[in-house]
Amino acid sequence: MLGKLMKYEFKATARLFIPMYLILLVLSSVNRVLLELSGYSTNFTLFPAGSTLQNIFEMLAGTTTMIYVLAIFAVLFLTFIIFVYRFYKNLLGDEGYLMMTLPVKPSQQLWAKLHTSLIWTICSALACCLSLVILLINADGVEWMVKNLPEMFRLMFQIDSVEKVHIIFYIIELVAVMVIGVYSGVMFYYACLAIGHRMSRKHKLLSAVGAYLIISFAMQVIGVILLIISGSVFDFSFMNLPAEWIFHIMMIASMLMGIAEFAVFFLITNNILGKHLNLE
Amino acid sequence: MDHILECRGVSKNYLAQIPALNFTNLTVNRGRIVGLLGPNGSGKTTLIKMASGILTPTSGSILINGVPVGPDTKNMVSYLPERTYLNDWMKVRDIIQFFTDFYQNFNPEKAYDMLGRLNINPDDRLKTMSKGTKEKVQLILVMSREADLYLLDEPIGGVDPAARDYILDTIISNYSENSTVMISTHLIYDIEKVLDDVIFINQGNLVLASSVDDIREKQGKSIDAYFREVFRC
Repeated sequence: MLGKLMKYEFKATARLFIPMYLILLVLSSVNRVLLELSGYSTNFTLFPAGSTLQNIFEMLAGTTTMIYVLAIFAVLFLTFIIFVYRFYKNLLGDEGYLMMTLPVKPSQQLWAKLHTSLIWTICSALACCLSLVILLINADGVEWMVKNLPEMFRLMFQIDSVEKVHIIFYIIELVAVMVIGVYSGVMFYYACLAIGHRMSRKHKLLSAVGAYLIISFAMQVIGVILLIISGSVFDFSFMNLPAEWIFHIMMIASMLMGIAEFAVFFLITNNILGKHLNLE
Repeated sequence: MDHILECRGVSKNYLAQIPALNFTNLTVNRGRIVGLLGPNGSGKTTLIKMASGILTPTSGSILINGVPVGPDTKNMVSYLPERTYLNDWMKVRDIIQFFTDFYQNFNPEKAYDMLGRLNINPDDRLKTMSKGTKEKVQLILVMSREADLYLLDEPIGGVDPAARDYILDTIISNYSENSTVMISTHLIYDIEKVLDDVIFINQGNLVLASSVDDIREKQGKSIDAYFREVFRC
């Protein structure tokens, strides 16, 4: 069931993401062309260098670069907006009449959307990277990469010292923190929408915003309290540990916090969808 | 369990004072076609939505086949809402695939057969269809499921009289002996001929639950006439 839910989730969201990525890639390609014609990497210019036409052309190229940078931010921002919007429209809107009468548990609905959100986040990041490559890649760069990257990878994974092990673990921890961050971040917004849905009939979105503000504030307060507690409970002798270990501890603490947040928001949302649903 | 649907002490209060529904107890038997009749705003849709699981009762419980409403009962219930709830951008074929994927008791051959008889092209996208055609597609999807309980909310409201007859015929010929069809409507005259039982509901309260034969015998009039009498404004 989870697989089927994800399949339909992808089908529905791909209609939004793929065009967005294509626009981004086209924009970066156009930008590249304009820059090249402005003598960016070679001395070739479309119009005679220094002429009015060329100056106007270069302004155009510069403007396009600005638009492209904005587009990158837009893609990342919209990626997030789409996840949140999907949840609201698909489960709590009219489509909820279809989705919530399927013989699946609410938790399965949530996992399907969460996993899909992670995958699209990765895709958006890759699309942005690809667009940057289109913009910046040149023959020298390719040559350098082909010559040096395989060697670099080999050296990285050749475990010949304790430091190397630490680095590999740092990378794993970093990835884990980012993945947990996506899940708990998205789940937070789902929980706010679910609470808004539960609390009010006529002002669901407004209540959701209210929930967002209250929970954000509460999380700050809890954060400070935890800091104070840990300050008085733990003697900071662990700060005498070598720096590598401190970093690991911080990463793991970060992961645990993320998991705890995720768990709380998941339980709240699951409970509301399962036991307090009120679709209009 | 003989009762396909059972309400125990069910009530629904929104945050307003007047309860939307206050059905202390109700049982519905298998293999019957039941009319859920009442004026606008009487709570028909509220009851149906609670039995389908998209609305939760404030108190009490609803049991389908003895099982409380939840993911297990959703397989047993086939619900047709009043509104169009299908993705506009999907083709009919895609939606049939969707139903096939999620419902084991969905019969795609039946669905295609009915679509064919109504001259609906499965490769059309829903957004290109008229409201009436969309409603027919939804009805076909719901009736192509071999469910224990069909909950149809105003299935003949927005369609022309000829289509109404077709829809009623579809309903009769497509449900199995052991299934119950509950139809909520105020077009009583059209639907009376197919009903076995009726439930009258007013302002959230159960006014009457009886078989059609009993009413005709005791009251000596048609359901339509009796309804007008009971719910005279």
